[in-house]
Amino acid sequence: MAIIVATLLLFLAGPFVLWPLLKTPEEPIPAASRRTSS
Amino acid sequence: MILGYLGAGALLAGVVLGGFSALLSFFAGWRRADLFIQVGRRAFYAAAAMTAIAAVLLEIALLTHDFSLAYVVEHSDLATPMALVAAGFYGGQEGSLLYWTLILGVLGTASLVTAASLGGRVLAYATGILASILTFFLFVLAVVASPFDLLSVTPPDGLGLNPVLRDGGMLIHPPVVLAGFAAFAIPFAFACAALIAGRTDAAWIRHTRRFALLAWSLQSAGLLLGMWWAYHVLGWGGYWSWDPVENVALMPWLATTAYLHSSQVQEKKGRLRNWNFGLVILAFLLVVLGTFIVRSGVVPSVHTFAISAIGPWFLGFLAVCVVFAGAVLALRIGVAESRPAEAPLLSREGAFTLQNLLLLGVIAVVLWGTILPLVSGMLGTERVVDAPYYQRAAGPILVAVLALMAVGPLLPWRRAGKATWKALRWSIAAAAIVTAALLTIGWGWGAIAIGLAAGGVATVATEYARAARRNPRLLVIKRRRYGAYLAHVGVLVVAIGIAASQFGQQEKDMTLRPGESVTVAGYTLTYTGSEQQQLADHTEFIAAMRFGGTALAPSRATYAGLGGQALTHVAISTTPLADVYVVLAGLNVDGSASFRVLVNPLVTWIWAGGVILILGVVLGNVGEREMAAELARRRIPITLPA
Repeated sequence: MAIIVATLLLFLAGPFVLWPLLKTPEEPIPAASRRTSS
Repeated sequence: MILGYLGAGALLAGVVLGGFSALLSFFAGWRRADLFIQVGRRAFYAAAAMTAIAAVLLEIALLTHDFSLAYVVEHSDLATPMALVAAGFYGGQEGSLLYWTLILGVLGTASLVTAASLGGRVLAYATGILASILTFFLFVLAVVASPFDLLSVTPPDGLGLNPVLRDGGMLIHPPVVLAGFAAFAIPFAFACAALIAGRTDAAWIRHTRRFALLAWSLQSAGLLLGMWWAYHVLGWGGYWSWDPVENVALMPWLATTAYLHSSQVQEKKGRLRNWNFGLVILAFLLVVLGTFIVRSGVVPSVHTFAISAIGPWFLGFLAVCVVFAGAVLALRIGVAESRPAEAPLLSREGAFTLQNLLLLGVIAVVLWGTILPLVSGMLGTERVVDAPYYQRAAGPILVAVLALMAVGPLLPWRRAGKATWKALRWSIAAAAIVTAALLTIGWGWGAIAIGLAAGGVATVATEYARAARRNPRLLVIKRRRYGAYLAHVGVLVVAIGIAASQFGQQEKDMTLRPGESVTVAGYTLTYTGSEQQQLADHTEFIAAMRFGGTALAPSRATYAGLGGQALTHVAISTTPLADVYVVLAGLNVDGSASFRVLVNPLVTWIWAGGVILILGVVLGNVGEREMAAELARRRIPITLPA
């Protein structure tokens, strides 16, 4: 029973812990638009 | 029953998350992988959250009298007041370990959240070390000593707390002292992390200073509260018995006291780098050693309620910590010290170095006295030392520390000159006058100790007067320095209280019939009669006494439900100069009563000194960072756009 509870808690904690890997990486600014803005 | 499963599940999840955090953080630090460093840190926060969930569940189980849990049965019952039932959380072995782990999780989280400026690798290694410690504790809680173990049959009521713990002191002393122990892990983790990462500058000291100070303050308060509790509850007339449990709480405090001074040398002069690493590591190793000694029962102690089978686990943990810290220190030793550590004795840095050596001397004395039964037992005959050993061996060293407290704050950095001697005149005069006055009443070492403490107070007064003359705002701007001086006053007042009560204590044993009086050290008490009261869980035998206009009621409580276990309730009347301390030894069939009466001079100074000490730490540090930031802002020249 305790192992089931632990598994459930780990499942719930997963998104928080792995958030740096889960979040969508920022799209790199295209080189052309950078040149335009400068 | 469901609380037991939920709690055990939270602990198991904590073990997995903590272990994951430790492994990933070390790997990420080694590979300089920023993303994994963040994940490792978040896993630590999640492990800390699991610990908090387990702690809340245990508290709920206690407050709802869930007697399906063995821990709740063993440490509470229906008759105990709710405040003490709640305190049962840390009243037993498993619960106190969970409380310790909770504080480690909370402080570890706070230290990691505020450590962004230290750089990714230091942060990663600090996370790894903190997570390793947290995982060890959670593993012990989940597997070896779980507070969530279930009973096969649920009893209708519990056994209740140990009678000694059924006191208001229970609400405050254990949580403070256990939090102090847990807090020592933070400076240790950051010191080792800085060493592994090769960041031996003072950045880790600046970051962990607040946590080291917190650990030191909690331990100061914990020690003093323990003394207060022993004095008011245990009824033997004193407050410090050099019991192993007291000793193991004192040693990390001494090491951190040394560190808080020597770290200033590194911050100001860039010296003593290796030394500071060593002191912080020593403080934590002493905490682990102490935990092993207390929880394993390898050394005879009055705190026998803390003993269980987790001793070998802590011995293993201590061995791992010693090997790890030794390897880390060996890896970087010599590399860290960039400048020679020369320091003239008559200088601020010289005084700090000497103070450090003296405090290490006290630690050595206390450590040997504490582990002697263990070591001598392994070699053949077990030998135990008692109070006179500690007083003879540590007393003179502590007197030398008091002398240093009288001189040190007035010494300048680098080298002292004639001006220093001039500044010292008030301190020397105060020390000489007080010592001479007390020598006339035959207090010997006590006279010297109190004289030197008076000299120390005069030194602080001189420093405050200097600042007030130059610019009173200095007291606020340099609050860290002047707060520390106030903490010095607190320690000195405590020292005066201890010396006076040790050297001036008078005691007398007597048997009195109703109406008879006795005089001890000029204080007269009259025994007026006895009565018996039947309370919910115990019988109280009270002997009434009159002391001037005050009624005193020393008593003895007998707990029938606990096999007739008896507990003494002392009666204390506090006067400005001394405590009159009355212990009821027994009531006789002819109506007479046997007492022990002690007159303890200046004991209240010990508690007052503790308050001053904490006040000094708080006033010296509240808003200190904001003030430093403000000053830094003022110094930055404003550049106008071209």
